[in-house]
Amino acid sequence: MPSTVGWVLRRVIYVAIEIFFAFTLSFFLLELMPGNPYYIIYYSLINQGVNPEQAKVLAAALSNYNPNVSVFTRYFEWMWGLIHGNLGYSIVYATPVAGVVAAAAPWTILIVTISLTLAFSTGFIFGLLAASTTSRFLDALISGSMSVFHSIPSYVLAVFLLIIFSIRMRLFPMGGAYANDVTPGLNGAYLLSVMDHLALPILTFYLMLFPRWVFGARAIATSVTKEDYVLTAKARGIKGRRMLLSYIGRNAMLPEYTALLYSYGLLFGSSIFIESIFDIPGLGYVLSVSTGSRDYLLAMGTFMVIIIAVILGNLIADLTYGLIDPRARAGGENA
Amino acid sequence: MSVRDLYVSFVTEFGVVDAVKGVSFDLHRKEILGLIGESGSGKTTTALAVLSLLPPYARVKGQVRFFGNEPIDVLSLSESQLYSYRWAKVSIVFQGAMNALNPVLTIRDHFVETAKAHGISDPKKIKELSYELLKSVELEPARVLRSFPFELSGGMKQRVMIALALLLRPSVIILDEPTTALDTLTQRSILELIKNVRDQFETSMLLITHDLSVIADSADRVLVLYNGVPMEMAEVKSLYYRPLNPYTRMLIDSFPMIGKILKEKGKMLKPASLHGCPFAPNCPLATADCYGATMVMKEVEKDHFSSCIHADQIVQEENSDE
Amino acid sequence: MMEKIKGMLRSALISIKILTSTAQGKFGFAVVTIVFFFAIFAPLFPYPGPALSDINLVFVPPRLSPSPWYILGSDYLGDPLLLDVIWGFRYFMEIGLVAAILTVGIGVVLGLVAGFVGGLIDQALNFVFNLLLTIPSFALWLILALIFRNASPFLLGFILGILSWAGLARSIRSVTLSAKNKEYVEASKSLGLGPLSIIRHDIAPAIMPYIFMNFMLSVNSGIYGAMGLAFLGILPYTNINWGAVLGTALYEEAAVYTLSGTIPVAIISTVSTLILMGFVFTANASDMIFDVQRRKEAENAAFAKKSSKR
Repeated sequence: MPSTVGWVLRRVIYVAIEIFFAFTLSFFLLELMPGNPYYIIYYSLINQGVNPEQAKVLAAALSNYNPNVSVFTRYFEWMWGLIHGNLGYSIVYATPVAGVVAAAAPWTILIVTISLTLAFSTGFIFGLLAASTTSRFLDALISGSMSVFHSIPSYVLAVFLLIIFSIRMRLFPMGGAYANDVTPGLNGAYLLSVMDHLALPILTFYLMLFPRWVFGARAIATSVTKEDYVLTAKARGIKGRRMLLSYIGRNAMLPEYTALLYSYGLLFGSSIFIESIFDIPGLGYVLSVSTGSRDYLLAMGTFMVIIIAVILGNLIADLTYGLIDPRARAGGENA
Repeated sequence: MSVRDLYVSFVTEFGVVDAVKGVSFDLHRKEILGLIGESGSGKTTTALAVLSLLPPYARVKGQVRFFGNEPIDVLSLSESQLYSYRWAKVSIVFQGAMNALNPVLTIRDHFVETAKAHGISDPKKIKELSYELLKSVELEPARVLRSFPFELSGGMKQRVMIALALLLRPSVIILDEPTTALDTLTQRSILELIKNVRDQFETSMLLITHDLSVIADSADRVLVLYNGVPMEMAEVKSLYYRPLNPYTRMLIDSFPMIGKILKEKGKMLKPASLHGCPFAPNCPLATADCYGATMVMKEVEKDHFSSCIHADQIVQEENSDE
Repeated sequence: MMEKIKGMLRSALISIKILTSTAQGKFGFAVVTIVFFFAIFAPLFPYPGPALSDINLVFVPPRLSPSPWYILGSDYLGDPLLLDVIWGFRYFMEIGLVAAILTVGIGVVLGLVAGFVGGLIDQALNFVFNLLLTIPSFALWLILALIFRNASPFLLGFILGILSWAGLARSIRSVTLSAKNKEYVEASKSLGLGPLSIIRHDIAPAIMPYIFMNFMLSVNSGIYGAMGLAFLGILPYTNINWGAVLGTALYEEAAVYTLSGTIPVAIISTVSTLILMGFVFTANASDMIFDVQRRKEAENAAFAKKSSKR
């Protein structure tokens, strides 16, 4: 994986193609869903007593959806709008899709980024310690508890934490991203309220993600410890912190680094449960709302953010891997 | 240094494996002692025992003594004492230097950290030292120091390992299969280098290999190991021309034409016996006693040890042949 | 023919012995056995349907009246929770198995084809794998669940498995690629063995551990997905889907605010976690089964016991 300009360029083009196909795939997948916004609005208008002719016109206007053209036409129209930076208009929120997505994204990004960073850093170190401890009891204890945490479904964990910390102990608020009596903006009350409200979601996410990195680090560290260069280093007098960090840690980090960046974007999708339980108006929440009401354009908008996050994560991983693994730099043949 | 009655066994979940059974030898100043045996014969285990580098599930019995300014009982050293013993008194070049260097560190990093681990922290001194050592192993210091391990060839990495092993001017260097995985031309040059190093730095060496030609070329004395049991120990010439153990004789005869020997015999070698003499199942001189014998090395002739209980018989045959 | 069957049985017994040799393996094996047992024998128990439901008994704590089935309390319909759990085993097993069979089946076939055939087909397939992996699986399930509104367990399993094979396919592909280049495959080729034979003998052993492990994990993700979709209310509620019970406890009945309401939540959480753990442990322990050395040793141990000569 040489870091020459040509390689970077090729990678970026590949990414563009990936994005294009992913968007297309998602669009047609969404179109597969039975029902469409036009008919939903049309029938609900009819039920409210509006006469059919008027209902048709209203429905067409409100739903932004023309059932009389083929799906391909809709696709090209959407693509065209996309290229011009227009993501369309959301039926559910009656605002441009871009606006809805832009308002929702920060919450998800905040929660995911903070939890993932914490989970990876603490998990990795924990895993290293677990691999290097001589106490079999300690190792078994760590593995055992991590196994339990890893197996708990995210929604179960969230409900559990909600019950314990919010309902029973009243330590944290039960839902929402911030309190009702606080005005959003760069003021202290708002920021405090946000931290208060996001604490539990972040904790939940953290506990969900933490075991994976403990296991990963422990497993890789165990195999790295068996490598020749570790024994040779021990013979040469390397020990303690240098051994743990420069030898075991750095080599164990290599595969985990790419795994970390790959997983980042995907977490945007998994956050749906936590956002739902804690009432955070993030991307997951918007996703479930938009798919439920066949608000295609909004759903696509959310999808797009998630897909771009995933693909970008991969791209950054590929481009920066050379920074941590010298074998992957210019012309390395043993990457 | 001297090793006496070294026994090493590994306790695994499937049972106890005896890797080394009663090995004893002396290593003298400026001497190259070859340790020869097939794979699994306990050679590397012996080397690791000398450095007390065995994994925690190994059980070691016996005595390893290093004679520096005063005698050191290696096996009774504490962890921290071991860290000052290793590399300073005895160092090692591992088998297959392919993977002996940390892939994410430069060669310079390796030199610096080794020096620092042993109290040398002056960067100028370290640089001087590394330059001198790399030159003595015939490598170009500037280029090699800033390279990463994957940028060097197998032979170069082997030389780097030798240079590193010399960093603290140890009295003993253990070389575990220094020429395996190298092409024959490189093998030649590494062997030459080893001898030069011995001459230049006056180090004793324990040269471990399965390759008789390496021993014949470079070693002064040699110890033959089979299945963890010492078979014979003598000066190289005595061993070659007057092997006093049937196993040694088979090694010498069959090398390198083991296929031809097998075809002549018409059958595969039977596996080694776990009791008594391991070579008994295949030995032309074997008697019932061999299976129950305690394998001790006896000085059958001057400075020529054999553990074969029929050694006298062999001596007689040799003498009558002349 | 008898010999073959006896051989297979012996092989299976040895696998079980190896699997249960660690604490992890024992737990996993126990869980899987219990789950399968109840999944198969669930019809022996009364079905928690309208016949048994009682509005007055919604989310009551454990009690023995009106019938001992209420020993774990009740669900949002007033049906006994214990029966929900038992029939739930069956429900989730069906979903999990269908999902796993689909995932593993498609994943292995596509991965083998990509790795073995190589060239343009491999490039194309690899592109598809990566493409699918960029779409978060839950979002996919969300959409598919909405497409197939009335999901029977079978259909649900289908949805959860039909697009989840990309990760496995990629792993199988890389294992196949590296196995393909090993010497023993060259040897087979030079002996004139056809591709199917090569796959069976040389490549299959390398990918078996992946298959088994992924099978277990796919069952898990199927259970997770089915429970999750019900929890969010995307699937029509059925009380044997524990996710529905959890969801109603939280959202509709607001039962979590009372102490007695938290009991079904606790029970569901424990049961589901234990099952997921069981399958994960089995998956982890399973790579011991495919370790050739370990098998040989276990076989020898079995032999030594039989021939009690020494």
